[in-house]
Amino acid sequence: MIGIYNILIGLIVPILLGWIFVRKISIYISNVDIFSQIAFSFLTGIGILNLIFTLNLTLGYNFSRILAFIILGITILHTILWIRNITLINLKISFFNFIKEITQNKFILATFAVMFITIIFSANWPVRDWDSIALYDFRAKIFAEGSRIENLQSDIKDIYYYRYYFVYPYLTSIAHAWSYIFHASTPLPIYAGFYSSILLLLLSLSLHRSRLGLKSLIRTNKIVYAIPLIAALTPQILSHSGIAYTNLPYATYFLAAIFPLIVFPNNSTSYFLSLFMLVSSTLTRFTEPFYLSIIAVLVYKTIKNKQYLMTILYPTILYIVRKLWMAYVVFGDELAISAIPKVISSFNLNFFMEVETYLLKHYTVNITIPLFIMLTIVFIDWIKNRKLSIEFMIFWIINLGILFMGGYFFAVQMETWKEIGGSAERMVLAFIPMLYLWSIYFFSISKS
Amino acid sequence: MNKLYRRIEITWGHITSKVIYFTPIVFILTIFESLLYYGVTQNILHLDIKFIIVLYTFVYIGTNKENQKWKLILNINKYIIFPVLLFLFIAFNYIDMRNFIGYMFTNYHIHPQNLILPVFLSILIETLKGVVINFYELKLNFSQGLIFIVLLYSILSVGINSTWIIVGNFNYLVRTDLRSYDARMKAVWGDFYDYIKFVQVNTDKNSVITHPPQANPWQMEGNQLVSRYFLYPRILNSGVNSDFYDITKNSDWLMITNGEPKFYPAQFVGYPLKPINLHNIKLLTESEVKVKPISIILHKKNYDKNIDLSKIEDLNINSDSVLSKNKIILESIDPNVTSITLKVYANSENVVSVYQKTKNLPEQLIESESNINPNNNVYEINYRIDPNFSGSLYIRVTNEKPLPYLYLKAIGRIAKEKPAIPEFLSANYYAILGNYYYIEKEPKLAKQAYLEALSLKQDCAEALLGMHYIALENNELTDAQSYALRLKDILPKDEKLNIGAYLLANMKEETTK
Repeated sequence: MIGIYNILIGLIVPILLGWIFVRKISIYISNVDIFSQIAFSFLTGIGILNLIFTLNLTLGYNFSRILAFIILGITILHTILWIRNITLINLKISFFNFIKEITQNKFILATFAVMFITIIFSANWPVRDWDSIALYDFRAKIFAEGSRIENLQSDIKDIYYYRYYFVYPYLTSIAHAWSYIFHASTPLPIYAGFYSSILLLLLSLSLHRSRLGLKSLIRTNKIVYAIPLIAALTPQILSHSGIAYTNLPYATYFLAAIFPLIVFPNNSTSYFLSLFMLVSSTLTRFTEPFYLSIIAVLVYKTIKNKQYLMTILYPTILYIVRKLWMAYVVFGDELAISAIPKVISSFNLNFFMEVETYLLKHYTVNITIPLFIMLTIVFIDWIKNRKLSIEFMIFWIINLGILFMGGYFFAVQMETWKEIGGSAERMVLAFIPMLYLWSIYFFSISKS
Repeated sequence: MNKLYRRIEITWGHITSKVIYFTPIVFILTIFESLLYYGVTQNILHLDIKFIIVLYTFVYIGTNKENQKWKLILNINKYIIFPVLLFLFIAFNYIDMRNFIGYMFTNYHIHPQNLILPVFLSILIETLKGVVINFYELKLNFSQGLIFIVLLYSILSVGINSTWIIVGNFNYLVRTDLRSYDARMKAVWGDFYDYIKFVQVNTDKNSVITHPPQANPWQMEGNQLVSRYFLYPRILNSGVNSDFYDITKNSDWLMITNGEPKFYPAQFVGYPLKPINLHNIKLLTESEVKVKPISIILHKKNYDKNIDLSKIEDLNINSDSVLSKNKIILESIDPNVTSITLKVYANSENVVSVYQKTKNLPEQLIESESNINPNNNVYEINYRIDPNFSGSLYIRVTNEKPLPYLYLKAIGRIAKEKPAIPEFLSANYYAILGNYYYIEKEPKLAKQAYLEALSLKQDCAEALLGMHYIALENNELTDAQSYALRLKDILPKDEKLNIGAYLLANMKEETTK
């Protein structure tokens, strides 16, 4: 029973909170289906909580528990009003539609079964991993008792230990605190929520693709649904659904930021949704510069569609958010630009090749399967159409540049660069859902 | 080109007509994977089982399954093989979950997680029974065929790993012994959780606690970030060497722990190579450290030279803060001197050492080990002269004790003065108590406590070590050897990290002498 309460607080309430906004957004986005609605509701819910409480904390106030109760109250009120507005017939229709969507294909059913299993596990298992104990969940406990990290400063003699609490932004800690304030025994259902959001977004795109309905080898195009199932079973993602680390939330928000740009119609609602997701991703893990690739895709799209206001507004808002966070934590520097001339002047081809080979080995070790799938599908698509989507090219060129040139940049400056293998392997975890997304994206196009 | 296609088509026809005979073979191979180990097919046939399944399925799709033989096979699969395999898969995995991962393998030599492979094969056969693609269709849809193969291979690949993860996770949930939060945390954090819980229960929320630095063997306890999670709102301070006395003076508690014995290198000074006598260790107050140099012997290649040092004034330290005093004893060292032996009177261990210092490189010091072998408070410090480093020789006296030494002195005292709460009575507690009695020169009581510890935890390193020393003192060499052997077995195999191996080597050395 406690498990159900944990799911209610960590998963259902954020979905209902996000639904307040996604319900409005759905009006402007024509092809949003039930799967992406649920996923975006959850991500928006957690994102909204994060924005409100990050603001609360960065403005110098203690974590406000009253605010949490007010948010819960608004959510309940909205849900009641919403349910009252929908007729029983409508509810029945949408419920049966949902069941129909799930049961139409064994792959979808299996994906939902895995989702269900992870939710059950997460609802009954405590936070227990090293980094979450040392940082994320500890901060959450401080927040949940209505305090803030700054209050500990006088008690922590060693500045290194004190600063460590600001290394990552607050998103996951705030989400944990939300669970603890309402006396949930574990906040882990939130991670099952992120895991499910990835799968729902992939399912949503698969649904969209399969509806194009072209004949193929096995008579239907339903085999595309195997990709969300493979994503669900990918060990790196599956294991993170029950671990309170920031890797999975970051990967989810990163995926959700590109999703509206390549799937939804080119209007400002899609762009703002994408921006909100990108802001949330940057407030989950601050240092990774992969957001640049999404900005590049957005700039390309908005210039192509002559939406120049968004071309400027989107990166500006993100820049302001990042600057504000940096101003709050005081220390930390985005990019050591001053070191670039030194790196260029000391360029050595042999060393460059040594570093890149090392990086390639470590980057690919955890993502072999999704990379293999995406490359096959993209290759087939390219054979047939002899051209590739520009968004795809921009996205990967920027990210590969960051991964390989960034790695080289680091290696030149650090003598101990050969020890970064482990972090390189973890860093690319954010790309696993992305690789599946692009696989599905090209799936329908790959038919002749 | 057409001729080539025709040939391939004929060959394809031959292959598809034979595929029926391969069905049981592929099934048996997948079952082998769970009966023996994952990867057995790869080792024997040099073919990955996932690849065999993909290949089989590909040919199966191209096969016309309308004849009687196929119908029989398909019916057997649907009504017998699939239900039986699914039942076994669920039942065996549930048994593993209820006990521990590997329970079925230990008792019945089955990896139930790997049963996912035959189950999946059975589902594939049933699902694709209506699909027949002829050669021309395949040729036209080559790209779709390729995607099908890639996705099937991927699903098999991730599926088997995920089954292990899911069953592993649910093993924690389903097990009856892991129902409580404490039991679940203990399953993840091991003995450290018991210890930190002990501290949590026994200290007030507003107390100040000094903990060991984050170094071996205290990688866990020394990590303030991890400890704070469990001990907040208690204030935590890291007891590093430089300001240890100041920090401990302002603390209510000193966190005392042996850390993780398996991480100890044998040479590590913090490892209780020998329990330390509590009476020898006093708080560093005024007139605490008294050192009187007696003599120095210069060992040359042909003869030794004895120099009297009794005229040198005493080196005493009267302070409760960390201080050291240095005194020159030889202005220059004759190049023929290979080593020296310094004889001093001292009232405590670990206070005297000698070091070399050159005029050119004043920051570079080579220091001897501190005095640790008491002989009526007269210590002999042997020091090998570094020929590349000729210069003056100094004597150094300090009241700073090596930090692990300070922790060790308190372990036994706390165990004695603060009896453990029954629910936290653990092997560790008895081992600590054993150390205390040993120090108090009550070997009988010590032995009793050590045996208690060993009855709770057969591989309690601390207790095995204590028993080894007691046996050694009683001249029971066989027993001492057997305890050292047991210690050797439970510690890392690398001899450098293995105190058991170190003790055995010591015993051997003693016997040859």
